[in-house]
Formats: sequence, structure tokens, C-alpha cells
Amino acid sequence: MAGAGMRDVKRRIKSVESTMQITKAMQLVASSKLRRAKERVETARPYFNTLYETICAMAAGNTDKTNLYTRPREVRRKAYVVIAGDRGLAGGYNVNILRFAESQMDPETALVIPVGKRAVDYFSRRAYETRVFQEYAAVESIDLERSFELARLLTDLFRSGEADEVVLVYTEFASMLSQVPACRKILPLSFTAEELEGHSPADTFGAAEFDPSIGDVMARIVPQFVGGMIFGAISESFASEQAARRTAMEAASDNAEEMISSLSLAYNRARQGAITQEITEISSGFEALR
Amino acid sequence: MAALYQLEIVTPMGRKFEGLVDNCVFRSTEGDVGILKGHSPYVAAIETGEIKIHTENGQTRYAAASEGFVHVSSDLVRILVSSCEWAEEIDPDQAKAEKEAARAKVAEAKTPEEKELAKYVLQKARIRRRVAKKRPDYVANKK
Repeated sequence: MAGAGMRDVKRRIKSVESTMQITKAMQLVASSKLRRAKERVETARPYFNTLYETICAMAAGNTDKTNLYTRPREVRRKAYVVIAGDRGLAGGYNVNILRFAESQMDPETALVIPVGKRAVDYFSRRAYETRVFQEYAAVESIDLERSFELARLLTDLFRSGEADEVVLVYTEFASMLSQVPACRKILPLSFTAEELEGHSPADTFGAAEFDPSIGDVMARIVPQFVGGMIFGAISESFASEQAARRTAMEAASDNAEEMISSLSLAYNRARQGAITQEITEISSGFEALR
Repeated sequence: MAALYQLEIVTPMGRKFEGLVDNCVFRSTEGDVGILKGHSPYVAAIETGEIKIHTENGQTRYAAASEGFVHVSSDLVRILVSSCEWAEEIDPDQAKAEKEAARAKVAEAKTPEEKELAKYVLQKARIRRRVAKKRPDYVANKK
């Protein structure tokens, strides 16, 4: 009886130990990826914010409402670029961003462009209209150059009228311990006060002169802007994912350690119990023989 | 010295410049454009090309930049480009080698798209080479 209990406990210790090996390894991998991702966020963030503010200031000052990119349109299709992770085991990271994205959408008008394998899986199993750019499905592989390529595809969607508005849904890397889902409208370039909340341009100074014309300038600037925003959002999201994974794996490793120690205690107790019982049996058997 | 204004050059690889200048020249789609203090609000797209700034302490600096745009507002000029390297950061010999390699690529290109891409790379390499030659130490050596 006691022997069977011991074997069970031993088996459980083994299994927890091997789980802990995995979580430890993932924690280490996430830590080293996080270090790099954090650097990337820190260098990209000034660009990300300045770009957005500058474009907002430009949009606020702009009075030309005939340009394709600046004119507010009647919204029949709203494209959501949802950036999640490629892999699970990152605590609440994927769930949070996907739920947040869903809470922002109206299923009737939403066109989802998932980036990151988790987002692709999630939305292709649900009743949303989705457009998957397969080459850009893996979030980890998207660098600056590929952000600009993706931006061109999005700009084409917007230009052709397949999407009347483009919104980025990503996770802001607030700190190592806190990552916040966020969304930013990037097209068209006309923003309401509500959309600008917290990002109001420093000064509005009236209409700027476009050289040579608003059409030419916008046709060049918009893909740049969208590309920069995608790059920024992906940098933020990727760092968030690594931070979330590291935290989750750290907690998992701690839990595993705790479990192992309480299981070891149980194992030792069972072993001791078994020995005691054996001794009692032997000595009582000896007693009986006398 | 002319009046000073605040200039920012920002790229995805970080802020490359932030400070007071009295003049800056960049290559817009329409040609070279220089901005002095008090310029009216202005927006233009920037081509792959050279950026030249004249800083408050009288120094002239050159940079090789790729596409982006410039936004001039009442008290601030912002240049946002996808990359920007100061002349001091470019190795002239390496830039030269890259230019030669890019030129060979253009000659080898078979399809029109390949040619287009190769020409784009060559253009970038040319600019880098040209800017690298303006490194202060390079110029001093030449004399």
C-alpha cells in the first residue's frame, strides 16, 4: 500500500520536474529575446510617437477634404490589423489582446487582418471576415523592411475601397510587468478629438503647404506612415509578448519548485512510513516466532 | 549667423538629431530644399539623398538619408526618414566597395523588377559614398 503511494508520488515529482525544465528554458529564452526586443522598442518609440503626432498635426491643420487619404469616408468596412503572438504560453498576452480586439469590433463591418499565428488561428475559426497575408503571419519575422511591404498591401486595401478605415490593434509595452492592449486608427488621416486622446499635436498652426501637391505628397507619405506605425506596433507587441512570457514562465517555474518540495515532503513521509511499517512487521513476526 | 530653429531627425533606429540649427537642406521629390527660420508651414516627401545641416556652433554636418518626409511647423522642423546615417558613421572604403557591388548587380539584373531594385540599391550606395567622402577626417586626409 505504502509502496504504491510512493511510486505515485515519485512519478509526479518526475513529471513536475520535466515541466519545470521546460518552463525554465522558456523563461531563459524569453529573457534573452526580451532584452533585444526592449532595445528595439526603445529605439523605435521616438519614431513611432513622433510619426503619429506629426501626421496628426498635419491632419489637424489640413483643410483639403478632397484627398483620398485625408477625406473621412462613410465606413462600410473597417480593417483591423490585430497583432498577437506566434506562440502560446505567454500568460494572458494572447487572450488579452484578442479579447480586446473583439471588444473594439463590430462583426458586421469588421475586416480582420491578423498578424501573428495565434491571431490567425483565432480569427479564422470565428465568424469574422478575415484577410490573411500568409507571408506576414509570423510576427517574429517582420522587420522594418517587411513592415513597409505590409504597409503597401494595407494602403492598397484602403485605396481600392476594400477598407474605409484602418485600425491597428497591438499591445503597448508599458513596462516589464505591465502590457496594455491599445488601438490606434491610422487611416484615413482625419482624426476626431476622441481618437487623438493623449496624442494631441503639440501645436496646430493652420494649413501647411504641400510641395508639389497634397496628392503627390500623400501618395508618398502614407505608405511611409503606415509602415512606420506597423513597425512600431509590432516592436511594442513583440516586447510585450516576451515580457508576458517571461513573467508567466517565472511564475510557473516557481510553482513547480513549490510543488516539488511539497511532493518531496510527501514522498519522504511515505518512505519513512513504509520503513516504520516494515520494521514493525518484522519485529512483530519475530515476536510471534518466539 | 542666421536665426536658429529647432530641428529633429527621427528614424526607426532612434533619434538621430535634436537641436538648434540655422539651416538644413534635404532632397525632396521636387529637388533640394533648404529651410531657414520662419518658414511657412510646409510638408514634402523626401527622396533617398543627402541631408546637410548647419548647427548652432557653426558646424556643417552631412547625412545619407532614405525616403521619408519633412514637416515644418511654426517652431519646429521634423524630418522623419526610414534611415539616416551621419557621414562620420560611414566607412568611405566600405561604401565604395558597396557601390561597386551594387553597380555589378545592376548589370547582372535580368528581369525589369530586379533591375529596378538593383538601381534603387545603387542609388542608396551612391549617396552613402558621396556623404562618406565628406567625413571631416576624410577631407582632412585629402589635403
